[in-house]
Amino acid sequence: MGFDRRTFIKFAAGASAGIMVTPLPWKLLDDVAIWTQNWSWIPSPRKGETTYTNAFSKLDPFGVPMKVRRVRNMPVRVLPQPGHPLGGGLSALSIAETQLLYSPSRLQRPQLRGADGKFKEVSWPEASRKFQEELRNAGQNIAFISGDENSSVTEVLSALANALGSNDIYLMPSEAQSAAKAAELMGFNARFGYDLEGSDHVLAIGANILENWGTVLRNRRIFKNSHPHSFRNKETNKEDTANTAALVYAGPLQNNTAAVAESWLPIYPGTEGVLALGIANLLIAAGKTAPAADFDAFKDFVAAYGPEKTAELTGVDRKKLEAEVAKLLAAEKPLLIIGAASGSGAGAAALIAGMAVNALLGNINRPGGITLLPKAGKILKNAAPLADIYRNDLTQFFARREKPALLLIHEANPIYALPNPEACKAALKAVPFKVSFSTFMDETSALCDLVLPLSMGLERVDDAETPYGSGKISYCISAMVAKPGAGVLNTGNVILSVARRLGKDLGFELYEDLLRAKARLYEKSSFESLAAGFPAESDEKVEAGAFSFKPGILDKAFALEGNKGKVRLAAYVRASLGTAKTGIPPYSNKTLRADELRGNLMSVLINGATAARNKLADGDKVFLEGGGKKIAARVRVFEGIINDAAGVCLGFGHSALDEFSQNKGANVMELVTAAPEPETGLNFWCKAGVDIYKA
Amino acid sequence: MSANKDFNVKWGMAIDLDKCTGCGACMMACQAENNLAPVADASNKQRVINWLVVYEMSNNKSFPDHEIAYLPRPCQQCAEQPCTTVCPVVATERNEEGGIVSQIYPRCIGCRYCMAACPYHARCFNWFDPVWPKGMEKVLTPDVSTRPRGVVEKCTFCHHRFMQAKDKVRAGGGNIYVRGVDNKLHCAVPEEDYITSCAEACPNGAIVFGDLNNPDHQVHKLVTGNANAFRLLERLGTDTAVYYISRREWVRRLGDNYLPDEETQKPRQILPKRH
Amino acid sequence: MEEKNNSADNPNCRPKSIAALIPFFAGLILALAFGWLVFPELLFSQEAQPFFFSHQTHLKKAGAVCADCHSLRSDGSFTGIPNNSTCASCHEGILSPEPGQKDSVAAKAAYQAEKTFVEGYLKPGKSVDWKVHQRQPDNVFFSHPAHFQKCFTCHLTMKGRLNFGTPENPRKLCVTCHPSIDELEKGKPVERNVLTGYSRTTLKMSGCEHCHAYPGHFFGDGKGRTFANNACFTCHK
Repeated sequence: MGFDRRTFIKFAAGASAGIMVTPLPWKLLDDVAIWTQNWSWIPSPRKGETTYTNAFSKLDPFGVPMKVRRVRNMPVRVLPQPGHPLGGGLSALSIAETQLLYSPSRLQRPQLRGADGKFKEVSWPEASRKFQEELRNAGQNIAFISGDENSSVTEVLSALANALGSNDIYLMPSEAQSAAKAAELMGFNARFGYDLEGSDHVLAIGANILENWGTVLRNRRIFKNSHPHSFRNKETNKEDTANTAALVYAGPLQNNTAAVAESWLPIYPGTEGVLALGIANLLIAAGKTAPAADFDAFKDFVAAYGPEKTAELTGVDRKKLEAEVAKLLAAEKPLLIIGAASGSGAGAAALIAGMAVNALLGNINRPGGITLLPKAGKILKNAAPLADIYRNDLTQFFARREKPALLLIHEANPIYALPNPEACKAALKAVPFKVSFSTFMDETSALCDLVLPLSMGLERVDDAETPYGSGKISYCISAMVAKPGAGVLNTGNVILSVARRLGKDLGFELYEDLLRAKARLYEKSSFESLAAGFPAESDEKVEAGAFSFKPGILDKAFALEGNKGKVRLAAYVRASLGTAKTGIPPYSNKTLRADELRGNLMSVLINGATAARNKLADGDKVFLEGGGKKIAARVRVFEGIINDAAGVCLGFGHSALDEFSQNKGANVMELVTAAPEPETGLNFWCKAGVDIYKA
Repeated sequence: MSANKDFNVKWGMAIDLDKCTGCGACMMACQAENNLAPVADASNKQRVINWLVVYEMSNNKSFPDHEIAYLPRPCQQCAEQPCTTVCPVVATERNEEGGIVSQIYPRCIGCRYCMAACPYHARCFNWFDPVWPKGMEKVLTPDVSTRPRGVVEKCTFCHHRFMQAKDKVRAGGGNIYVRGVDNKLHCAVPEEDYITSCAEACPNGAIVFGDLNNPDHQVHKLVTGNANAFRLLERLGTDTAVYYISRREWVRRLGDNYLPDEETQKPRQILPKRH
Repeated sequence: MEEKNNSADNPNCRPKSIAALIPFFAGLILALAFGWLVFPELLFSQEAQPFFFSHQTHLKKAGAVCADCHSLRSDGSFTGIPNNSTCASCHEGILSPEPGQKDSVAAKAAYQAEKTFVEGYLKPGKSVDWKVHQRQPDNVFFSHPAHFQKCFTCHLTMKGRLNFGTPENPRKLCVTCHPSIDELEKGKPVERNVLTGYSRTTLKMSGCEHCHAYPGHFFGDGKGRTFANNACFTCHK
């Protein structure tokens, strides 16, 4: 008979019956259910003891103190550091710093461009040998770019440059540079400090003070404290609370600051300084004077900027302007802050005009006004003072014909961040040897010959001295909260050791030793207390001395016209999109609304009237064209922007970095070209016109 | 699953829309705290997971009379939840002292009824497995479990922080619920020991978090008797725990889809007000 | 068991008239054997501990109590497996006598284990990768302080079956959920379920439910007060 069908069925029936009285089916059912709840490919968080360490953000340029939560000594979360004079909450970028430690674009090993034009990984000793050799060959024909104006690394770089016989060192263009230039031209031997804490009426022109101007978290903490939550009593129907300081914003579009400001004064992009002159005109008409040496000349000069003329030039509503000036006059401690809505490129003349208004309001060295802070100190003998480095203009360096034999770039991405990236690229290519110290593989590093992987802010000891926009001198040291990977080093240490090997010992073995020496400049603090997150502060001030308003400079500077176009370009910044160095941090693109970026098409904001005039409708795909370049965008009709202006967000259009930054919109800088501002010589690109047409 | 439970403690928020600049720090802090996965392209909003979304609001006037406001929207933690009542597997409920609507990922079967029911779009579905770039999973916080494809998730008012704060009180030997001067039970967790990640991150202090029932808490003081406080879609009777505050009438009107000719100050109540 | 008697009947042999049901019983018995004997072995893999560790030695010889090594931190979190510094508070150097002095197998093992810890982990600052017998999955938030506080209130003073020890020695309370130290003796390897990844001794939700879903806990003090809340968010995250 054999093993026939009948036998098999009997066998199977027996087996089935048997298996039912074993744990197998029931246990399996349970376990399969649990298995589906814990897929092995879904990562599991790290567990263990939580500790906290204070640190100071080196990625966010706006001075962000942080408290880093570590689990078994590995950082997992950035939290606010309460009680810090620059702190209060967190910025979007700083929150992503722990994630950025593992950014796909992080550099892990030095990269050297081979003869075939491709990068190949090399070891650190090999990389620094190559760097040293190229430095030696270049002699004094070298130039340095630093992307961190608050850190002592800039001082180290400057010391090395000087020791090698070059004073070609540049910082990335910034508000601080414009302010330094303005202070110098006006005759102040000081830096501008902004006593926002003491002011009861802040007029911000251009400067997006709650998003990307100055010490943002501090500005916002001050805003928070001066604006209690509104409480309209249900019984009396009256407000029980009142703001203790007013905030007014003037700028081309309703940005983050305008959204919560008491009022918004729409002005054309690039006319910030002119608006300040219009205000000065009204203040002088109201009898205000200032102890400036050339006050009479200034008075004659601003006489031309009457309300009518100002309204015509800036697009501001005349009545609104007069009302705002009346409020300034009525306020006890009004403060005017002027800056570029795009974060840089506004030149120095606007700053001078703004400071003139502050001087007319009696604000110089007055509580709640402008505090004249002593210039940044230094401890390396060879290094140039920071104020001198600010004099060198990077856009002009890229425009100049003769190139250095070696260019060193520290934590900067000029190829992305400067106007006219194509021209910058060509200029960079003309430099025979380019070295980039960078944490991420950004656009600039991708074009360099040697890329040295840099530890991220959280992985190194570094410092920050009085970020621009501060009210007083401060000094912060950021502790190392994460162990750096084997392949990364910090610029300070590399430069110090290279200098030593070139026979130009800068006096310190390690960068940390230099910071320890620097900490001794602050009497009440120690390196340990600074590194633990307690900053040094000083109320030191500089006497105003003789200063002037330089109407001659203003006259010529404001006459500068950008390239013409159908609409004026109003570039704005969303701090959550990171910086040119970091690109868009992971998580950030989830904060973008669908009307800001859809697919890889970014939005251009124009108001209804402008759209009608240009025969465009909401959702139209358009091209913006300027300076011979064009970028694509989608029209978003947004009524919070002045007529004949096109609002575009900076921070898109990365071609390097990682998947979170790439394939998103376009880089607005492509449309603009920097020109030296007449008289001040500073880079200026805030007045560009562009054409807009349907694609 | 039991809806409309009254609790001694009712965690809630007051979000001051006159202070919100729309910077997105709260959204970032939320994602980092709650282990949401980053995505390369987040522009398809129907597929993107956010527990907290900041919306832009407009008064719909033309330039120059245009005004703008931003509205952060976490889960509203309704006392009369439309979502829990439709869940076929009790993966979501509001059953614990504090009144936070729970979401249990291993229990969720992904039917998405709750998403359809939620009038606030506060719930998100995991259409894909979460993916972190290599190494980035090392910075996941230990407090919140990661979710696989196929389940719904939403804001929990950082409930893990509540659990941790309670444990801190217990480790110190204290009781969690103590009778206050008003003879009602209140949570002994200090006000500053339990705040959500978004409220903690906001530099403008726009988000105030606390116990709506505790007269000592700022959030209670802010919303009680404040004519400028309102809730979203109040007339649905969901009795949410998230209040918004604005001086601006147009902002308050947008909170409840008023008809253009409709009076606004008192929304018609469908269900009885619970507190 | 019975299969020994029955296994003499070869299931493949040609059935006689009386044995028409032999294939049935053969299948039955094979299935029973597989389900009861083979399957449980297949389901669990073994993970050896990095080195020998004896709870008995620590508790009985050294007179330690659970909380000496497994305690609450001030933030209310539970330390779980002790870290190097906790161990080093006693084992900074090797405490066991040198092998020459005492030659029992246990003494040798203890010496070797200590040597491994001090030289292989403590000095290089490497943490010991202990295999945990009772790791809860990520979606569970287990609060030790809550259980200390709530369960201690009654179960250390109750009489009879529900008495779980004294405040000084609540060990029985610990072993209500944890395997006893006898079970864990001699560096017992962790048996891990190959499907779920849970250890064999991990307390599963049904174990939690013994108390959490037990009505007596809901109305324990007669005032309808919830002692062991059974809301999902009490334990899940």
